[in-house]
Amino acid sequence: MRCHLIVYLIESINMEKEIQKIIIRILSGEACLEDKQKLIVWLGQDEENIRAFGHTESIWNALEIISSGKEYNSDEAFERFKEIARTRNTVRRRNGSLKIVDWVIRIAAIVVIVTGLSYLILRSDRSDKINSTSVCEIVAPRGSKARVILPDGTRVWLNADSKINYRKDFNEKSRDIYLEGEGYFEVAKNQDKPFVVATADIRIRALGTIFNVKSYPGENIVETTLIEGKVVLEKDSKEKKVVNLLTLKPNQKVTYYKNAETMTESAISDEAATPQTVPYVNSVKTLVVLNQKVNSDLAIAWKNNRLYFENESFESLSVKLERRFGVTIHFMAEDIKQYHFSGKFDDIIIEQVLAALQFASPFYYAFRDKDIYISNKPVKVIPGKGQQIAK
Amino acid sequence: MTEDEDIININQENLSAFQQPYTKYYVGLCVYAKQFTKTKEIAEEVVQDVFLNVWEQKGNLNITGSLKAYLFASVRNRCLDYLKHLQVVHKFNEKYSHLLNEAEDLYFFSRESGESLLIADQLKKEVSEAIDSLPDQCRKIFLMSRFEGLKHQEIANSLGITKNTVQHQVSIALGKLRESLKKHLLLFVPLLKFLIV
Repeated sequence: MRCHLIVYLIESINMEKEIQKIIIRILSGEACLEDKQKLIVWLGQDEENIRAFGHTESIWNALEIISSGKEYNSDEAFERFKEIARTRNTVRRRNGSLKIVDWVIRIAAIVVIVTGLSYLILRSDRSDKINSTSVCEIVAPRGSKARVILPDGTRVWLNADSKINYRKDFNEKSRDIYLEGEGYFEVAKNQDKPFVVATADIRIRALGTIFNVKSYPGENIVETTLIEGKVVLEKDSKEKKVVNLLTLKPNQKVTYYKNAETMTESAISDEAATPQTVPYVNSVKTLVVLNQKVNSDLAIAWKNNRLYFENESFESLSVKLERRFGVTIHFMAEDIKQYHFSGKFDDIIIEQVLAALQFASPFYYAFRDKDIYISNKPVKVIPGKGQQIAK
Repeated sequence: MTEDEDIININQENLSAFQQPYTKYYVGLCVYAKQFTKTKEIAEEVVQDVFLNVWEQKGNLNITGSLKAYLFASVRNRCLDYLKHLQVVHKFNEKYSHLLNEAEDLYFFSRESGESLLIADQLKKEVSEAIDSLPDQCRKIFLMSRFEGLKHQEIANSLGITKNTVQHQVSIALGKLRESLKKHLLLFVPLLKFLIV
């Protein structure tokens, strides 16, 4: 018993030493992928580790400012700043008034940090035996996002309210992960082990590529957008045979309809009627709609903390806002749901999105904690007393 | 709405009121930007741009957090945009893709660098004292790594020791610094947002 304890202590000291070196390599930009992997795991083990890393990083940065801070002269820079500011001011006045559209964009440009502490839950099995059936799960809760580097070097960004899981033996024989929600994948190249993202309905098989998959439970569609490389969409038939649905080229987006079997012919043709789309209906009674050319920036804006939407109804936009900001949106009037908006926002808070939208189409809104009530009449919400609308 | 004095200063329509927040954050922002851009000139340009943007929004400036957080986030985003732009202009040339990846990893691991850069000024004296009290060899290696910007392998070569020893000594130095600066560091516990994009 005692013997075990000693062994354990020595091991943990060695680990500590190794981690110190890894931290130094990370801070000095000499880290390799394995270092980053190990650091992530170590940080996930204990809050104390997080604090230790933060403090080391602080000292590191403090030294940076002592050693290179002298290179910068803030007084000189401010003189230059004043000159540019004055010139720009005159130009602005000559240009005259701003259009409403400009206003919306300007408001949107007021970048504000989402300060809520986001977190990532990294559940790892700490049992000593290597158990190949144990599963790693990475979760990005509502209102926050996560980024992970998988054991094979693949980089994954997870959108709010999403999760991935993979078996502990990931990358040994194959690279299979399961996705619920939205993820952006930069797959590390490995011809021998295809990278497969499974959703509840279809699978996306990739080699070394970059793509985005959106598959939220409760939504009728699975959207896959390819940015670079090649991916194959596949599905199991009723007889458990793999059926290839189609192959995507860069800047193409495919939308898979989960309930195609129950959709009527006219509903299907409605979905597929928009230009640039081709319906594929095959033996497994599947409906997929291919967009030949999409702006992939739109699909991956979320990854860069941006919110882009084009001619999107308030109803569908509200789902995005709910996930992103961890709020619940209630529409008090049906017609508002059909308002359509286009917009581009950088790092921003929910109040500013709503204020910008109000510029485009007038509506009223009120908050009660994490609930937002939207109406065409002024909204008054009494805190803690349920929703109440003033006349 | 805001209690940040700097924001109140900026919202005044007068350039000299802007000087105080400008000089307060300028150096820290430049050092921060250079971690991403690797070039001093571009770092300064990015910071200038961010300040001009803030200035042009004066009156409309509606920041719910602190000005500091706003500035650091803007600098970071602009640096990443700049690196993305470089990567596209150079047709995904590996060098620029690598630069962008490095920057994204930096962003990934250290969301709160701004905080520590700004307290550095207050800690200058204590840090210097702590460095002075390090064992000779340890201090020498540490200064070479941190102040002369030498790679671990370069230090190893010039001192005739192994790269492993260099990393070990640097980690001892940092550990001792952390120990002696403990009470100052507690003043600014970094909020952890690692792994969050």
